[in-house]
Amino acid sequence: MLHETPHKYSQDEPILKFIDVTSTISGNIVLENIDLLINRGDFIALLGPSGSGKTTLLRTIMGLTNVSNGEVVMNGKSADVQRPNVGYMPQMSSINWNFPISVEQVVLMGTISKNKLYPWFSKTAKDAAFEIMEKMGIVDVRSRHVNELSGGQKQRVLLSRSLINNPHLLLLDEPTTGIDIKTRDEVMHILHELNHRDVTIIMATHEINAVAAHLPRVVCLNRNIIADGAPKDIFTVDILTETYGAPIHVTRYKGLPIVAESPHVFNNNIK
Amino acid sequence: MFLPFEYEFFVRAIIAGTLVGGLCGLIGVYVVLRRMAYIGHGLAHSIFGGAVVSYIISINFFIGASIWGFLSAMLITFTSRKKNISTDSSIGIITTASFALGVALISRFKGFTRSFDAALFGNILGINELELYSVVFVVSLVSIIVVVAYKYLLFTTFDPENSEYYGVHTGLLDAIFSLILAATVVVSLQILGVTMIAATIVIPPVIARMLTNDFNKMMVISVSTGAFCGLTGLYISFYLDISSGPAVVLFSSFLFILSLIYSTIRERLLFKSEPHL
Repeated sequence: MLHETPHKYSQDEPILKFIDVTSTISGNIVLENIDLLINRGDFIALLGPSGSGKTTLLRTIMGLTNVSNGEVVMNGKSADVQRPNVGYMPQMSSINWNFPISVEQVVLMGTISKNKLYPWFSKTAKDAAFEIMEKMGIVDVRSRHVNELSGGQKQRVLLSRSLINNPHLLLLDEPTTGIDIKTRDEVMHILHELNHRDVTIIMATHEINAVAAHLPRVVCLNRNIIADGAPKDIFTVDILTETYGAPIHVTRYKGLPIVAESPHVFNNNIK
Repeated sequence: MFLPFEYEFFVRAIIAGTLVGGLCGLIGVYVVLRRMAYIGHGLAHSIFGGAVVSYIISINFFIGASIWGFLSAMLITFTSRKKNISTDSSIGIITTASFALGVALISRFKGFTRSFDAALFGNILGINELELYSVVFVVSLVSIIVVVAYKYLLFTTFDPENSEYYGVHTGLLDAIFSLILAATVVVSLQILGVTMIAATIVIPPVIARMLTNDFNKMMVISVSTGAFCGLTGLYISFYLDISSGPAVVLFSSFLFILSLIYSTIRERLLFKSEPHL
């Protein structure tokens, strides 16, 4: 079950600011002239086709891309100067789940920047891992091999790793891609819970109806920011067609917008 | 059984063989999990080129070959990360070019007195005290680095794409890994030979991976299997009078087949007792 959208929306507390940012990867411009204001408590869906710069935008916040123009300001300080305490959850497909590693070891990796000189994971780190795994409901499987888990449990492992340092900002790269409906709802439920506890969330997603439509704010991206606002204002034929570069239809069901791509007609005999 | 221990050369050989076997098993865990199984094979060929160059310009073999191997490993890592070239392609290009350079130099400078057979297939029984000390040194160095950098090496091997964000210097770790890999191959060359190193680096961790899903256990099984293969291979080499490299590799392959049979039977039994619904 999804929560309603109870998020606080406070305009006077920007946690993150993109000021005319241009980001490049291997010399190619991926994001251009991005102006974006993220407020504390926001829960944002980042929409756009593959290659539109969603992952790059997340990686720019983490200071992992080359910002050739403009500035990313986090809590009033430039992200170049101080790497922000941000939780990041990568795409499931970027992880080698067959690697011989336990759930607990994956979660502990989130603490690696602490106790840098200590060769193994410290007691404090292990306690923190236990606590977050307990919250995420995976503490009973902590000694298991990661590939023995279900899709939802794997998501919780990556979420635990990104949350172990208690970040105020959580960045998620397609967290609901490739999982079933029940697991997707579980993941969304956890994220809403976190958002209730004042964690600001930015989530790249391809799921317009099932995920983005239920969030208070949607940012459409395709190299530039195409649109930014509530789903009811954003989900229009013009905006979505411009974002995806393909014809898209919008209809309404019980007041909610339903987005659908144009049906392709392969056979003219079909009426 | 203890007859060969009466010979001093055999005692040296057995210590060196066991240590090198364990060392290859240790470094092999990372090599296999990083999916670069052929780097050992490639580096050994590359270092052969470096060894010939060192001989010609009269510098110490260990220093010259290690620097050469390190630069080759770095070049492989660099080209496969930065450019649109896969790891196996860059291993194929860089190391074969280096090997070709070695062979070209040997054919140009006829005055070579070193045995080709020993370089290609290993001749552990001719190992001298200095070479044994270098093995002990590299084993100690690699063990210390693997312990101190344990969590960093684990993270970059498991999730290289995201480890940098979590504060791991992937560039520095790649350099350290290339260095210990090159040092491992250099000290293993004398014992195992250019053509045999790949198997001794790959077989022990592959056996270990079949037997466990736990990284730490995989390390222990791989190191012990490597050391056991080094020890037993040398005995076989002594008694059957065959080159040490092939003896170690054939015995490792035999163990590989045994563990393959064991894990296949175990999976079948598990499958029977826990039917998939």
